[in-house]
Amino acid sequence: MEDRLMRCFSSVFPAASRDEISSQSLEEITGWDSLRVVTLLAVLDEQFGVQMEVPDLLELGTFSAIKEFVLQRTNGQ
Amino acid sequence: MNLIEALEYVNRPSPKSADCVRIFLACGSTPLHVETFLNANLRKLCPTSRIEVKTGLFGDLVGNLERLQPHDHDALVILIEWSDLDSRLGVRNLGGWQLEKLPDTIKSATLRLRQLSAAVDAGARVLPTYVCLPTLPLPPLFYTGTQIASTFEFNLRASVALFAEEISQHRHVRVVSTQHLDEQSPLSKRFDPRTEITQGFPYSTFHTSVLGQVIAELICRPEPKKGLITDLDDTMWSGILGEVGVEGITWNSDRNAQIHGIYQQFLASLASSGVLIGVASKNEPALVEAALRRNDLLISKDSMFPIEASWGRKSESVKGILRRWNVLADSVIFIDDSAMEVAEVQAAFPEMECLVFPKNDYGAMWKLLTHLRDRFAKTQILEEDSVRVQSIRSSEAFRDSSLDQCSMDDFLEQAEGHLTFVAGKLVEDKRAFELVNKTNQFNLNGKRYDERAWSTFFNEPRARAITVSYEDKFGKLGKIAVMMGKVEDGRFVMDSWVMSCRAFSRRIEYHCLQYLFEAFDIAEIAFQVHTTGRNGPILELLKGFAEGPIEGPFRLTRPCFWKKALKMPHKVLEEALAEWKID
Repeated sequence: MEDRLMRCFSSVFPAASRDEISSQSLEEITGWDSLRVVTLLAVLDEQFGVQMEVPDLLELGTFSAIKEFVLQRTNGQ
Repeated sequence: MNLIEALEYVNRPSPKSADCVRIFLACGSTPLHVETFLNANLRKLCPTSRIEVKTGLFGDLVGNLERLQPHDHDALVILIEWSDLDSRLGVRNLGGWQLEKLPDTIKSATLRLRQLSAAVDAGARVLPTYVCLPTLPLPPLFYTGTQIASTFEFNLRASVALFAEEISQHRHVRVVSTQHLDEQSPLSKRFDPRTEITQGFPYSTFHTSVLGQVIAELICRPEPKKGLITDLDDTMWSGILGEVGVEGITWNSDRNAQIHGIYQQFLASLASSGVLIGVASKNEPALVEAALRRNDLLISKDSMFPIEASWGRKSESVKGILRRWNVLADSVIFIDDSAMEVAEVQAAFPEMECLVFPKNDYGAMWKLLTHLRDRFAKTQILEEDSVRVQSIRSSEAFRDSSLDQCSMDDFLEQAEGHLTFVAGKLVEDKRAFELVNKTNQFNLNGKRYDERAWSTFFNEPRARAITVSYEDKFGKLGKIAVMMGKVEDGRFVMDSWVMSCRAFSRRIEYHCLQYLFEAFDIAEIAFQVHTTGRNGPILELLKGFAEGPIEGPFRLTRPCFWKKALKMPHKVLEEALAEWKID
């Protein structure tokens, strides 16, 4: 699951390394902007069937928090 | 392609020193994933190009078009949705859906379409333009409910249809087929009200993917195939001719053979649009001749050429047809009901598309016809399309007669050939554009032009093109050659030179060079020649003049031409255009 989620992030933030994505807060990831946030939401919806709004994503704040959220929503699938 | 794959495509580095294709995407919504999918699909279809997609301001489709700098782009893509015509036809703005507002909504949408028509026309004067009409469902604003189409809805759709009909007549405009889009993307899967309201992006990811693919395929359309070679028994008709005889074969519904009748009328349609139709059949030639004379056949015998009937291998018949057409195997499709025959031909011609005719499967037949229609798709039909088969027959008669003559000089003189040269800024000459973009064998360097590059070439003040038409006592070949170049310092720098293979062996190429020397009064022609692997005939001609290698800019002087040129037998007519002279 973590690899799939990392693939989602890497596709939206191609300039960011895996380390950067997993360790930084979302807004510190290289290439972060409002359009990419919307794109990330669409990719998460496509890959995991999880629908979120921008404020939800920003509130989660980190890759690991999003991972937990997706795990909960998908029952660990 | 899903969104994550599209993003990964876009993130790949572009090939170094690749040609750049610059697209302007005009839409009224946030471009978001449309831009991504369009870019990714273009990269997939044109892997050697660098793709740039630029977009305009959110919510201002007409303004984006009016501000467009067409010379900064190579193609224009316009996505229109209902809310671009009037915001009351969407959900992003709250404009009112009351009954009394409907007439005004329709009226303002019609006015907006007129504005769009003018903007499309302005863009398409310079750029190839691809227009997608509204694809999303109309909102539930009509009092008749969603199951009954209201008069208002018909008014609205009629305005859009009128707009589409008008812009589709523009030479550089391609309107995305609504039917094609409907087949790829069901209406119920297109709209995402959540993303439309929260992000200003109305399309579901699925529909965006389809839009990106369909538009990219329009932009990067492959060259149409030139010919189709078909089997007869159980393909063109139902039944084995050798077993049931001429009267026993059938293609009508009363004998459950309608599928073959439909195929015949489809072939007739292809033939009438200039596609070569050849026949390769394992049969007695006399029997085939008699069968093709049946007057209830839906394709005339004259539309098919050549007809190769023998008991030899199918691949040998196909080889003979390719030789007589003088086209390459990758420009041709072969169709036979026997999977074994298809495999045999495919093995002999790996580059040819070989398909099994599905004689007992109606659904597969429908798919086959749709597939073939796309493979032979043209955006316009030219005069030359209507004389193609006739001119190939004439060429063959010409060759056969030439074999009977004791000398080629005598024969050519008796052919009563005459050439017509037209020179000038031939930017609107569709046949010249087609010839340059599809000729392989007699082609100076394989250079192709898209519509934008074609216009740009003629923007250069000293650039000219010369077309050559040919006719002799055997028939009319139409426009068969194009030369393009610039006159600089007493020489003609030739950028492109193509000639249809139908015109070979007539010494027309020598007439072309003579015309350049004399009409431009130049001392030298500099050929921008390049070996393509397929342009052997033109290389052979130039080698005849050369004393060394001919790759790169090869120069032919006037004395050298006259020293080595063969006798030129044809009468030459000239139609000089007004802008012909170069100061």
